[in-house]
Amino acid sequence: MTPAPTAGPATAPLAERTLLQDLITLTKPRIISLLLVTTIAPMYVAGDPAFSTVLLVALGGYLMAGGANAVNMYLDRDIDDVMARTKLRPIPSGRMHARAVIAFGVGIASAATWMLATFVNVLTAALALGGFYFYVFIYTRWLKRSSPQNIVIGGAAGAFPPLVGWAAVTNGLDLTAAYLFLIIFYWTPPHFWALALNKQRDYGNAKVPMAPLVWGERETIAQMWWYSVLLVALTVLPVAFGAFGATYLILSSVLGAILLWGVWRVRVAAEFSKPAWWVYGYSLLYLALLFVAMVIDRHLPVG
Amino acid sequence: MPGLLLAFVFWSAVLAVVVSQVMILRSSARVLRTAAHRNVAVEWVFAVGPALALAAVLAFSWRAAMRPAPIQVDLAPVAGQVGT
Repeated sequence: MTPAPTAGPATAPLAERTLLQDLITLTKPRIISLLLVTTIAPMYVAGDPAFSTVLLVALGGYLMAGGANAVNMYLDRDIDDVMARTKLRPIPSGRMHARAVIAFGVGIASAATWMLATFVNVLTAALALGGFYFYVFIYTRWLKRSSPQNIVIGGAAGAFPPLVGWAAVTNGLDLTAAYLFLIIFYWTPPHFWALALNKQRDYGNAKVPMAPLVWGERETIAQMWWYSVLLVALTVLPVAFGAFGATYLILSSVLGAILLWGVWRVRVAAEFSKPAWWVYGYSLLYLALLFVAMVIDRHLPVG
Repeated sequence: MPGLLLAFVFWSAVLAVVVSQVMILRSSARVLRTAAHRNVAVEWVFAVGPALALAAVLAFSWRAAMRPAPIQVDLAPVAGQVGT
């Protein structure tokens, strides 16, 4: 449910694509793989979940996020048509009818809600559905086309998965869960602005007011830096109240230092394109490894 | 981990969070004065809202960090007092 930058797997030539491949493309599987890491890892931080619960949450999470992504493709079909990186999606390329896409999106999100409420718990289903609504209505429908802070506030949509995973195990939320939410919330701006810096023409053509277009590149890069500093500081705070131990403190500090080094390179470079692409790629790895570090700390504590 | 290290981690992270958040707000103020925005009031809410939420979470974190560790009471039965 994170604001999605890529179109999913487009490996098969267009003429050979089957309906199944297009349906999978609608769910944006590459984006969801990171969402699943940030859903499942918190389950192992919160407790020791049964494997069946993990599978149910993974399937429900995929269907809910996939449904949100499909509805996003329906709502954004006009701008997908004018952006180079999205015009091969099923709707703008004419391979799927818009109404079929929204029916598919709403259908699999409804199935996910039923499945999570019936087989996991109601809080988990409510949080997953909250993420769906936030992504569809707050981010896609409202903020994306109206505010340069679209991905700042919209980042909350991508921050729901750890809450879903946490609630699936504990049937509640606590301070550590709030930190997992905040970590993704504050990770989103530097990650997406690194992409937006390199895709300004695309966003400009589609009239999406991304920060580099409205605020300018220098101001956006300055905010990327401060959001990254804030993010790295947030990642170590849970150690102070005993949520994580020394293993996590060391791993998160190393991962965070590399992120800060990357963003600093964007800040000082005369030509930001290459370092910004690097930050975009590394930030994906950073988030995944950070959540893996939390699990390692909980299950293989040192000291 | 030693209490002194935990206190250092907590206060240095809080300092970094506060400084970063202030710099983000200053930058937001700059761009809201200069760049064209559809609704400046809403943009201010978007800038200040997360900062307020963050302040609340930091307050809860401080409470959690300052909470004394639970006292370990040895409840093992004393020899000769059980099963008499």
